[in-house]
Amino acid sequence: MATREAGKKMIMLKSPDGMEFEVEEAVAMESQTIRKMIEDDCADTAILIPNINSKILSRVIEYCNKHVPTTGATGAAASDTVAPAALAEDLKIWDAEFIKVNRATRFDLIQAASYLNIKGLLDLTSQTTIDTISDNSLEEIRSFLSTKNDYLPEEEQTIRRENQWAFQ
Amino acid sequence: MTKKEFRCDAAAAIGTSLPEELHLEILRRLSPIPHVLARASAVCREWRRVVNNPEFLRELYLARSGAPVTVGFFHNADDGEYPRRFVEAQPGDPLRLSFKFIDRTINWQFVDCRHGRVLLKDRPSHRFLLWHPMSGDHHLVLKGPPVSGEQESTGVTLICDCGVVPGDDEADKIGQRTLCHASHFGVAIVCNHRRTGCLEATIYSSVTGEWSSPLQLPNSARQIRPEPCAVISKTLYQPLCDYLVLAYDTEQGSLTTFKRPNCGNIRLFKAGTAVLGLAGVLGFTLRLWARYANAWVLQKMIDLTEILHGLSTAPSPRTDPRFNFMPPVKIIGVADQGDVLFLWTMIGIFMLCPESMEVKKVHQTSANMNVVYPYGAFYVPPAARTQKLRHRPKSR
Repeated sequence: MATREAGKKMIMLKSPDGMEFEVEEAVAMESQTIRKMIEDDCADTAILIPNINSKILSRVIEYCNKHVPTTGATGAAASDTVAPAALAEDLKIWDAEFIKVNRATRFDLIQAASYLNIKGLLDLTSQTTIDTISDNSLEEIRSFLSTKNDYLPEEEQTIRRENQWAFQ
Repeated sequence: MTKKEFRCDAAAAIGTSLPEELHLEILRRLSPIPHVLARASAVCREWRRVVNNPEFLRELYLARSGAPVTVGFFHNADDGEYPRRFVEAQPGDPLRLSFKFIDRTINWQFVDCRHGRVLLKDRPSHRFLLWHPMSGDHHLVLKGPPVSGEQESTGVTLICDCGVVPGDDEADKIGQRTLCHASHFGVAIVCNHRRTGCLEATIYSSVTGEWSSPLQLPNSARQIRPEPCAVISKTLYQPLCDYLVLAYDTEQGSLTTFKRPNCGNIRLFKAGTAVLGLAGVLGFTLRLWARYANAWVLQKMIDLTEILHGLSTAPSPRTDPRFNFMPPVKIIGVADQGDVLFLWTMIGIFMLCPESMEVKKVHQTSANMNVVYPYGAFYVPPAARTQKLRHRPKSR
């Protein structure tokens, strides 16, 4: 395993389009998938992350960097001086800014978060989609998710009747 | 789409759509607000299959410890039509509650609301109506109770028969709760005897269609307070005057009293699975208590002026003749699980979640909203909704 700065283990993450990202092990271990690989000692020098391109992978790393618990070597100074509540508030604001991306990027992030098993990122990226479900018409939800309406017209009528209290 | 395909297709799928397996990830994060689930089930066949799956619903409710989502409250303030007797607390589309079956010639009053069902009473005739607002199902209790106190000294409670089947584990209970609307129920009454003032109690069972013979607590002329009671398992807890609580164990058929903290205007609720909770507001301070091993333990103190801006500088209720008898802050409603409180103030009616400290204004300051009935709704799949109370096998 590559080690660089004193005391900090570094991990190399490789995207399928050939980019390499060197990250601290603690950051990489925000991903439960990678954590398992490291714990099982199958992460040799570099981990190839299939099906997540460099653009998305760099954003995922950015998220993990921000969310890695600030104990131990990194950011110890910050956690000593900032109250936990203020830190959580700061993270919320940062998250809100982070998720201001287009639909395609958000879907890519959902897929990446699911594959790498990063719960916080999956929660964050799914939430906007959930908001769509409560606030928009069926047509808008379907087009947002690119889901096909596979109901026959009369079936849809029945379903709307069953749940009429939930619709206009 | 299988997992394997997802891996191969991911590159191709970028920017267009989300693999179906990830739809489940998203649906798992839905808040179980009934209209949200109903809408989701109309999107496509797969979503309908997922949302109407009892396993999926159980998981969703377990994530909230089985508590329904408080979507607003019912109240008896006299402002005309029934639909206006519901105040919404959740954003999004208004709930379409089916009021249409309610006979407008009868002045039904809301008296309780639990497990997604609402209990109404017609005072003159002592009839009760059990109503499931999501489906419109209703059940009339025609037979009058064998006890009768003055209106203001009578506590009435709905006791849902769901999830209290002996031998069921917790997960099963919660799974069953999604079917609360179809389960049998009890209506428990505690009151002061008209003549003697003694505390009396009785319970109606929808299984037998009969009221139990009245139970009396001798030499107990303690006045029942107008605040609704809390129900834990099959025992109800009714606030009494003189800082007491009346416990009515409907299964053992026993009445006992015990002390409660003196901390302003109070409400009782179920804290956790078997713990009695108490919320009290004195001045601008909200205190939350829990009763462990017969002793009250203070859990939390909240300075309301810190979360309700403008509260400390608002005029006193004494300045308005409509609110002469109101304290500056009154707890007017508490959700069954105690996770949501409704607070009346001179600057409006607020919904407060003590856990998250989230607070939001849901209504303007109004008269006659001293007691409101928070409504928590479950999503009930349409197939299950067709089960009627009378068709339910008694064994389960």
